[in-house]
This record gives sequence, C-alpha cells and structure tokens, in this order.
Amino acid sequence: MIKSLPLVRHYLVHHKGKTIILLICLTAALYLPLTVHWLVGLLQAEMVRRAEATPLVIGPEGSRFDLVLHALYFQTESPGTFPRAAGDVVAETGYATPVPLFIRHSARGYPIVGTTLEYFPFRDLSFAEGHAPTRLGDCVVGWEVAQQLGLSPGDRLPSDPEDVFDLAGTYPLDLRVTGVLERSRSPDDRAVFVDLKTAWILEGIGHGHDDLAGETDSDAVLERDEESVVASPALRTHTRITSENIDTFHFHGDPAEFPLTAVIAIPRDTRAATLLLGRYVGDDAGAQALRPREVTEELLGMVIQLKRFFDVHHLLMSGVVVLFVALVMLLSLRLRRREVDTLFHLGCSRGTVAGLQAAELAILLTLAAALAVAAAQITVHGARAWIQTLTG
Amino acid sequence: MNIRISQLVFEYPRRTFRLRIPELEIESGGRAAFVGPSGSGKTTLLRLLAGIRLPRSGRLTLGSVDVPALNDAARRAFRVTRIGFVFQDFQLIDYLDVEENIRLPFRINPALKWSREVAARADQLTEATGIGGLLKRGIDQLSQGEKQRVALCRALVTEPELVLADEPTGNLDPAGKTRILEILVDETRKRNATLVMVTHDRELLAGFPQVVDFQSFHSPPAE
Repeated sequence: MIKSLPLVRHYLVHHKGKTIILLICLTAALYLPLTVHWLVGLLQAEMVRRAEATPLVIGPEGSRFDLVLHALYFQTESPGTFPRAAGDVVAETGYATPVPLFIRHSARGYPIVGTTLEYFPFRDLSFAEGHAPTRLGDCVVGWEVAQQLGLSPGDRLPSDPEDVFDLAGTYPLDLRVTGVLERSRSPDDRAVFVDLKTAWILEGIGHGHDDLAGETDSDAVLERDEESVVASPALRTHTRITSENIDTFHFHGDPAEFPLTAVIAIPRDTRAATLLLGRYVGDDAGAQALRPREVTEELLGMVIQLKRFFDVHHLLMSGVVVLFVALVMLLSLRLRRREVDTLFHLGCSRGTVAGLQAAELAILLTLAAALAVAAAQITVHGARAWIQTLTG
Repeated sequence: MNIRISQLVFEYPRRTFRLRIPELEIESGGRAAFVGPSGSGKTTLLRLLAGIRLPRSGRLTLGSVDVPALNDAARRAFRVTRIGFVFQDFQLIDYLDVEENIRLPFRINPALKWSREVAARADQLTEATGIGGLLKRGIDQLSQGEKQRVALCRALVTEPELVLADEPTGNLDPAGKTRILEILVDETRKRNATLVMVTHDRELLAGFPQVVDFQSFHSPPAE
C-alpha cells in the first residue's frame, strides 16, 4: 500500500482546484470549533486568574456581576458609589488591608482609576519609567496607554469632559504623567492611575481656584461679608495642578462621605475573609462583599452555556461539511470509474483501490487538521494579548 | 506459456453477445493474430485470457493454470505477474506522467518489485519505442501514437510470459506500426513469451504464424 501512495500525491497535485476546495472546506470545519474552544479556554483561564488574584471586593449593593467587572476590569460605568466610611470599616476590623477604588472618569477613553499606592504592589505592577504619583494631579499610565498615546513621564494627559455641553459641569483636569507601568498583560495596561484625591477632584468634590480673600476683581465675587465670600461663575478654577496653585486645591463636604465605587480587600487569612464577608451580610449592611472567583465562575458558567450552543452549531456544520466532502468523493469516484477500471485491469485489488481513496481522504484530513491547528494557534496567539489585556 | 481453449462460451449479462470457441490452441512462444469484424469477440477473448472476464462455460488454460477456476485474488496475481496487456484505449492514468504510467503496475501490485534492473529495462523500452524524451510529460500532452507506445512499454516492462495486444498499431503511421510490431516480436521472442494480437491490419499478418479468424466464433445469443 505504501508504494502506491505516490499515486495519491500525483492525483491531489494534478487536481489542484478540487484539492484546494476540499482543503478549505475541511480546514474551515475544523478551524472554527477549535478556535472557539481554545479562545474560550483562554478567556476562562485569564478571567479566573484575575479573579483569583483578587480575594474580596466590597462595593455598593446591586448587581454582583457589575461590581466584580467594575473592580477587576475598570468599567467606568460604575454600579454606583458608596461612602468612603463604609470602606474604612475594612481597615477598622483589622481583617484585611483595603485598596479603595473610585473609577468614574476617563482620559482619552481609558479609565482613570483613583486608588492608593497599595494597588501597585497588590497587582505586582512595577514601573517601566518614572514613579508613582507624588501629588494631586499626577497620574501613572498603563503600558498600552503609554504605547497608544505616546506618553512618557513629564507629558500631560487631559481627562475627558463628562459632558461638553454642560458649561457648569466639572472641567477636565490636565494630568501630569509621572510614570509608565511595565506591561502586565492585564486591564492595568489599559488604565490611568491617580490618587484617590485626584479622582475626587475629577468628580468635582475638590477644586482649586483664585484666592477670593485677596481677589480684587469684583466680577469674581457676588457677595462678601466678614464670614463668607460668594463667588460668581467668573471665578477662575484651575484645570492644571501646579506647584504654584496646588495650595488652592481643597475639598468640600465630609471626607467620610466621599464616594468610592469599590474596595478590594486583602484579608489576613481565610478566617479573616470569612469574618469580613459576614459583616456585609444582611439588609442593613449598606454594601456587599463578594469573592470575585465565585462571581466569575458564575459568569463563566453562562459563557460555557453559550459555548455549548456554538459547539452544537459547529457539530452540525462539521456534519454538513463531512457530508459535502463525502458527496464530492462519491461523485469523484464516478468520474474516476475509468481510472479504477484501469487499476483493476492492471491487477490492483479492491482493497488497494479503497486504500488509495482512504489515503487521499486521510491526507486531506491531515493537511486540513494541520492547517486548522496552525490557523487556530495563530488566531489564539494574536488574540491572547487582547484577551489578557481585557480580562487577565 | 501455451493457451488451450475448449468449448468456451461467453455471454454478456444482457445476452446481447455470445462468443463460442470450440477449440483453440496457441503454443508457448507462439505468435497469434486475432482478426475479424468489429464486435466479433476478439477483445472479449483477450479479456477472458487475462482473467478480466470469466466464461460461462468451457475450459481455458494458460500453461497449466485453469484461469477461470482461480479465485479473484489468484487470478489477479496471475495476470499481474505473467500477462502484459496493451489495451485498445490505452487505459493510461491522466494525472500520472509517462514514467509513472509505465511504473504503475509496480505501484499497485505487491507481487512486483521495482528495481534498478526493471528501471533499466523501462529505459530501454522507452528508448526503443521513441518516447525516451517524454518521460516527464503528462498524458494529455501526448499524441495518440505516443500514448500507444506508453501503453506498450507498460505491458512489456513486467516481462510477461503472455502479451495480449489489442490493436497496438491502430494509431500509428506505417513506419511506427512496423517499429512497434518489431519491438513486440523481439521482446516476446527474447523471452519465449507468447504474443496474441488483435488487428484489423492485414499487412501485419505476415509476421504471425497463426491467424485466428473470429468470423465463425461470434453467434447470436441462445434463446
């Protein structure tokens, strides 16, 4: 049989058109399910990896999925806010180290993550260039942000206006880039990190403006008495924090009520985690505490359900392709009747003729499988960085 | 290899044709020409001799072998190793080049082994038939005469004891006919092989000591 294999090669090479069409059909039939399978596997692995690295998330009551996706993947559409004091409870209990998050704004489309310095060691993030924020208005950009926007320490990055038509709204803040993070293949690559206070300035809770006490421009003052000064809209507020004006920045309101969108809690141990979770059980808790791993697995359960649908779909499509290929082979056998007769007349056995047909199909399948695996690998390799950045 | 036929009857399944041969003997190393009008059963008898078709009744022996009595595998093995067949329609494989077509019997039969000697013989045959320069050509690039020569080389390369040639000169010019017949005769004589050739060309009969006229063998099918 082996010595007849060159006949198969000659046949496949001679009938290039048919061979290529069959190869494309078989490759496509194998490529799609294989790629989906590997991509879903990668997505699962990356999502679970990020979730596993985040022990507990505390945040406002509401959708558990929204909260976890917000805290892990920085969705700027936050599920809501809750007072900073509710997060402070975490530190007060001594069960865990809190890493507060306030994510409601963006810069050139990238989420601005207001947090504390603890976030960087927690996520094992290191600096490719520069250093962490040192004062109000400083920011650190993720690797992809730096690459896409061409940023390096010393550059400026304006935050996005909330609503360009709202003249009375909060003005964008011109952030100073102090550092660029090393590539982490995670959503941190696609984020801009600022100190919590800077994030609150973006929210409009804090601001800096001309000194009204010494202001001589009468247009900027509506009313002045011994105890208070009422400023007019003509008062100049600073949109860039500098050494000269940083002292004019101040916050209004009760700091305990300043908003957070989530708190990542790093518990001392399993028992501390359980006790901390217990504190957020009940209707009057005012916030919810979640294990991201559990919520992510629930989410992935839905993805798996969807994948099953695609699996069935791919199975049906593969079945159709196999039938198509079988039809082509059968029709081809009819067309090759003369050739088969010649082989029989020359003394070829039916087994050898069948073997040649089987070898032809096997070669096509093997080639298609190799092409499909290679194409799927290339696709997954290409999508890996993207998936990791989105979910990792 | 001698051929002995006795009371041989063959009918096609739909009984549109009946071949009946009471007695026929061709001696080992002999040369016989089958002549007769088209449809008189010449090609059919070649196929019966090759074991491609089986008679309805009668006796057909090649050497000491009762060919119809052999099972399919044994008949095939016998054909492969001991008979060379030049088909009227050449029966060449269109996706193989000339060289691979000549080598085809060795590709598809475990009983035949391709060796340097066989390759040398193939070279000699292709040179003798004038297709030595066409070995890498595709079959669709050959003339009818060239295809005929390829079919001839394929039949002779296995050094068969019996050569069955179905109008092997049908597509050749007079010089080509003479050359091909010379090769057939030389090759079979060299190895004392038996040559049976179907032809309509009366000029070629001079080279055949035995001429079998099929006029009388063909009869309407029995009711």
